[in-house]
Amino acid sequence: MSTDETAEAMAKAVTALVPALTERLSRHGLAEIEVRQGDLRVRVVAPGPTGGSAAAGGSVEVTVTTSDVGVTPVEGTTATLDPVRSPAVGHFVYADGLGPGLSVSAGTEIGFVEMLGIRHEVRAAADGVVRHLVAESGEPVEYGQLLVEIDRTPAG
Amino acid sequence: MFAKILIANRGEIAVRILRTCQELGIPAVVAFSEPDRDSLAVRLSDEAICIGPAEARRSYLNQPALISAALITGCDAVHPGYGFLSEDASFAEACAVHDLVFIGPRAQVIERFASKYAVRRMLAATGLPTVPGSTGIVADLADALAQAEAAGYPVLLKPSAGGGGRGMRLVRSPREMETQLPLARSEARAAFGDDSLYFERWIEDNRHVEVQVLVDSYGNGIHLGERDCSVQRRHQKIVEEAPSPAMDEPARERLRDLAIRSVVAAGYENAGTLEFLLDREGNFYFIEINCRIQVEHPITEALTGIDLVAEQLRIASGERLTLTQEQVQLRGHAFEFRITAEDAHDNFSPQTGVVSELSWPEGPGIRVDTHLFAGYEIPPYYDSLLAKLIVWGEDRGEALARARAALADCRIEGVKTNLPFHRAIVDNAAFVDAEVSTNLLDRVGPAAFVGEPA
Repeated sequence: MSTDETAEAMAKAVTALVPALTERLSRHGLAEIEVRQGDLRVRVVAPGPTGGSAAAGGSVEVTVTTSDVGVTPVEGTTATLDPVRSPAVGHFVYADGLGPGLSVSAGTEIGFVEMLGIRHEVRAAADGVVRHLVAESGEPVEYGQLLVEIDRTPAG
Repeated sequence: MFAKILIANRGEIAVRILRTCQELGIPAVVAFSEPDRDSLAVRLSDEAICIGPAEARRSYLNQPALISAALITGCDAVHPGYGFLSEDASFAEACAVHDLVFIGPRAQVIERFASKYAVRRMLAATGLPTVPGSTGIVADLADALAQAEAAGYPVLLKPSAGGGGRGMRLVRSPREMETQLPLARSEARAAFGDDSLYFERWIEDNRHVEVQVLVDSYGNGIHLGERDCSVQRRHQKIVEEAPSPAMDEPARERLRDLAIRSVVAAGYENAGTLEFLLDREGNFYFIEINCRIQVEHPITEALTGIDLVAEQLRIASGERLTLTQEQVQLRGHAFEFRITAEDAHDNFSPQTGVVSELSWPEGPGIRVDTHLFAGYEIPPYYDSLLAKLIVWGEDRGEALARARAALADCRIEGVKTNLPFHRAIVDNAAFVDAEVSTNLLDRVGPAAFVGEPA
């Protein structure tokens, strides 16, 4: 892909995706959202304490990257995203202090799902960095629902 | 009526229950296990929730997960379907504790009707004939001989601590009783640590006939006629029909009337089915009651025009029966063919696969209850039922003719099924003449019906 074509593709992606992603971000109260379209990655980060820009008017931070032309080097492009899923049907609550950017090791408590008064612990499966908080604290979740994504620390 | 119902089941029955909920305008949530995420019930539902992994113990049998799923989705009732937790008194009780209505009999009613032996005694006391046998445990050989003489040979000796057919012995004469009783005793002692035995008369060439009842929580009950489920393989029903072709109308009336009276007298509630053995002489004997909706309920719906799931919902929500016995009209004749993922040409071995092509028969009197769609992958974890073809006609002959044509029009590609068996049995002389007894298939083998694969 030439630089011109890349720029054009990125412009298109931004026009097509950013409004929809921004809307979804605020609707679900997400911290950030990322989609891939071919070689392109579009990442939208909400303003607020958990990350993102402090730009006025609650604007969002948008990062668009391609795999062949690294406009903005996104951290951990070589790392594996490790999904943390709900072990039970109930209400999910995050562990205190959990947020994007936090380093965790295998076994670190992510939170718990309360099912009929019984807490089912949710723990990180591997060492890494918390990337996305997908679920909301207090949210009803189903079995297997994606709660958190962790960037697994590459071995060595 | 309910605000929202959790459907705690899968397959065709989940789709069936969902259909009634949608007709009645009651929102429903389909509870599903991970491999059922793309199932038809989930696709047709407005709301669905994953309750666990494939293993039934952790999903469809997982009581806390189901109750939690009902609560977080705002349901006030749970329909258990058939199988899984449908007759589990502890689940009905757990629902009640969380202010959820279990759509079926209340826990204390299920509990009272749970023990086969106790129920036989209870319903015998309210007027139902039961299989003649020993009065309780046999004391010794002299007692066994005297009691067997009264009940009539052959008899089936059963360990009182046993179950599932283990340690049972067929005794055809007093001579055999003398040799078999000590053997059965030592067998029972070895297997169950308890050598007490009882016996029942063995009814060799029996038919299986069952009566559908509806009883509200105020002691009003009606029957919806009987079904004949004599085409079985290893105690699994394959074809059912209604009314029973083995009984004449006065006999059927007597059976239905006795069944509804005794079950109301015993305090049953909601939909239920009383199962009977019918012998060659036309005597019927009560064997057990099923406290749930049954797989074969559509043939009763075909004859009566009554939606049995809707009636279950109404009764569970505390409504009174609005139908009287006189309003129940049994019209025509109906068959149900259970189409399963079992290879009819390979001793009914279970099959999996992806349904690559699918088409169903259509026309007057035809109904198909199924969860299949083209592209559906049949998971290996659950039972093999794929679809139920229900065919209705004005009389048995018309229903049978329609069934032949309908079975010829069923097309399921990508997975082997028992359709060849169904296509063969509708032309089988014993079936056409209504001469099939429950042990026929196991005696002659299904191969006698389907022959060799082409």
